[in-house]
Amino acid sequence: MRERTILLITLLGLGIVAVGVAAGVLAQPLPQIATAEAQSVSQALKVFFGISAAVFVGMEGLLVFAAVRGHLLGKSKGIIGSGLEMLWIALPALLVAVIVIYSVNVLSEIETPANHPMRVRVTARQFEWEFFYVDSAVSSDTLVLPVGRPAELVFTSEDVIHSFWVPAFGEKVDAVPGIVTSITITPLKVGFYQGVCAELCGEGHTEMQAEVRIQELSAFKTWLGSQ
Amino acid sequence: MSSEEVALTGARRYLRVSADHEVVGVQFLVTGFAFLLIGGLMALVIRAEQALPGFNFLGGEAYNRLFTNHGSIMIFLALMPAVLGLTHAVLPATVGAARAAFPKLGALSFWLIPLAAMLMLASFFVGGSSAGWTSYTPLSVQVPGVGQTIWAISLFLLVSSLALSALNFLFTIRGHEMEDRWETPLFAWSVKASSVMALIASPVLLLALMLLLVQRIAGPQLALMDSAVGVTIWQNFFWFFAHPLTLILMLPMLGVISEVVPSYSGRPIVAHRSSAIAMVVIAGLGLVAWGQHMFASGLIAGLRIPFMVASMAIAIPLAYIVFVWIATIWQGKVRFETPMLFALGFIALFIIGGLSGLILASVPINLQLSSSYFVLGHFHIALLGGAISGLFAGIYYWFPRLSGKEYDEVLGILHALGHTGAVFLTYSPMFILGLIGLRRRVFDYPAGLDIEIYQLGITAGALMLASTVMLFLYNMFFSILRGESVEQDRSKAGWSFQPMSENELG
Repeated sequence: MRERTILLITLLGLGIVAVGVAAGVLAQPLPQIATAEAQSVSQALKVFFGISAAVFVGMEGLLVFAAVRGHLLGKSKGIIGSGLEMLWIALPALLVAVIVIYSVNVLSEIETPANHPMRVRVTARQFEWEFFYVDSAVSSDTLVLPVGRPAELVFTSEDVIHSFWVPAFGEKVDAVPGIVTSITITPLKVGFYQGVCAELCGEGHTEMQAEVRIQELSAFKTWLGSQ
Repeated sequence: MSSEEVALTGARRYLRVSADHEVVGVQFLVTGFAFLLIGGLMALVIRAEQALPGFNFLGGEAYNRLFTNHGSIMIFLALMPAVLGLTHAVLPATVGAARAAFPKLGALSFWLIPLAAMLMLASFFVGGSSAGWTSYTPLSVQVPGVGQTIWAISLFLLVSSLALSALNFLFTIRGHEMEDRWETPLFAWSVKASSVMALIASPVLLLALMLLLVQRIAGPQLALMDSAVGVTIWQNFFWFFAHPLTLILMLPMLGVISEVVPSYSGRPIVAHRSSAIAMVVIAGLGLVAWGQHMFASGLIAGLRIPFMVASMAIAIPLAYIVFVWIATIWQGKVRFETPMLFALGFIALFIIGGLSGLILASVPINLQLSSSYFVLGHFHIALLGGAISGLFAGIYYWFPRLSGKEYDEVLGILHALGHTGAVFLTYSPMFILGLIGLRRRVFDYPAGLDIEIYQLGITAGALMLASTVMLFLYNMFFSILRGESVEQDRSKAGWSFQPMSENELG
């Protein structure tokens, strides 16, 4: 009777907290989603946070219950059977396997090469980004992309390591001197976004930002022509 | 002499070179806490700059220097010496050894720390290091001034100190193991696993630091560490050491909790042998997961999936140990005293640190959340909720035996509850800030994101954390000076948990 009361109170309390947090985060883990890649990542985050929330409530609930029960009621009979012990190993292993498989799928999804992407060569240097549109030989300090058309961003650095991150794109990649790296993104949502340098690169690291715009194709063409 | 005078006279031996393992341990611990205060002050200055968006009073190079030294000091001059100190002080007694295997090596390991500390503090005045504690090349090659070079020398000494201590621990345990070696106390097992990791990982960072020093001293005509090859070498070598490092510092604390939990549950741990095996598995997996930090680097494209699997697999033995603790508590008669409250706080926060680490180890998630506040939240909860909570649990647990004095239980309980609450309050908002898109290592963030409430929570938590540390130092200091002497039989009791008979449990 008392045991059940403790269990009930524990689970109820933790459940309320977890539902509140999970509802907030699960509804929209990433506040801005501008690309198909960010959509995939956001979906993966929902799944992983969902799993984590369940594991969190289960484990913290067990912990609080065990401690309060053990304090108030004293020693209990063994709960340790070989079956239960196997479950402790099998359950985490299963969850890890699910997360690994899901991650591999999402990774291949966001790294699938696109057909005829628009190619942009990005050069990073302390403390600015330069975007060179290969097909039209246009250079700019703003990254403007047409909505719906995949773009391949190819990175190099002229000095130290930088990292190009537009949180709304759902991924980042380092720009490393002497090495070529790239990401392919499919812009989905017209709007203004902020690109930043996410790898410490020196005194001006904080200010190393770039304006990023996703526009309708016609507006993009007008912009490209004016450069 | 009054008891206070005795205490002060006794204090003098801690200022000299001593080969006594308890003295060495206390020397390490006191040094660690001194630098915890310095690193903590730096954290408060960082919080002051971060409290409002925009440039407040600290930016650019000065800010870079501040967090570089905050990180280096907290990891290598606060956390590492404190963990080593507790281990030096109690390891021989827990395995029933009269002294450490190599007492002089222990002393040498300690005295490298003040030397390295002076170098690191001095580097502040001659240019300073500003490439982050990770010191990625080519930035760490490019940083002008002697400061960055001295920082590398200081780190070289500190990593050497870690390796020397690890060697000492391994040989201290050797020869004092149980006949069935898996029955050896879990604290000793955790130290053994940690020390093997340290001995394998340290030489690799020492080599990388040597290469960095050669490059910095030889100058730009030497294309070594600032080339693409150098970049690949540094990141791999650095993380080959630094990824295990968190586990090297964490594992002995898993050992501490595995002593505290059964002691205050009044029963032996439910699965001694398999917990020891789990610790060995953690050490093994920890050594092959370093690439987890390089998913966005473009340097290890084909190896990302194997590294992801290795990183995530660590969750399995870690979860197993947590279940063993919970099952032990479940079957015991629990006493809520200071060490136990720290242990419970440890487990509660460790679950959060573990789950956030699992999420970060996923390659696609990592490409989005690496270098963000999410990472800050994860490793601060893991280190303060994990390693530091375990450290406090161990210090309170062994304090009466080490000092012969009782600490103030009420202050201890306040500290345990305050610490656990403050760690959660300070670092859990960072997960949300990371999801919103805030990057780490910058002094500014965009205005108008509606994140004031989170920033306020972090700042309030940081202040709360600082005051709980003060409470701890006050408690320790006055307990040593004026605390009640420990009853004779308690000080003679086993240092490692010994299963008691049913009668004694009452």
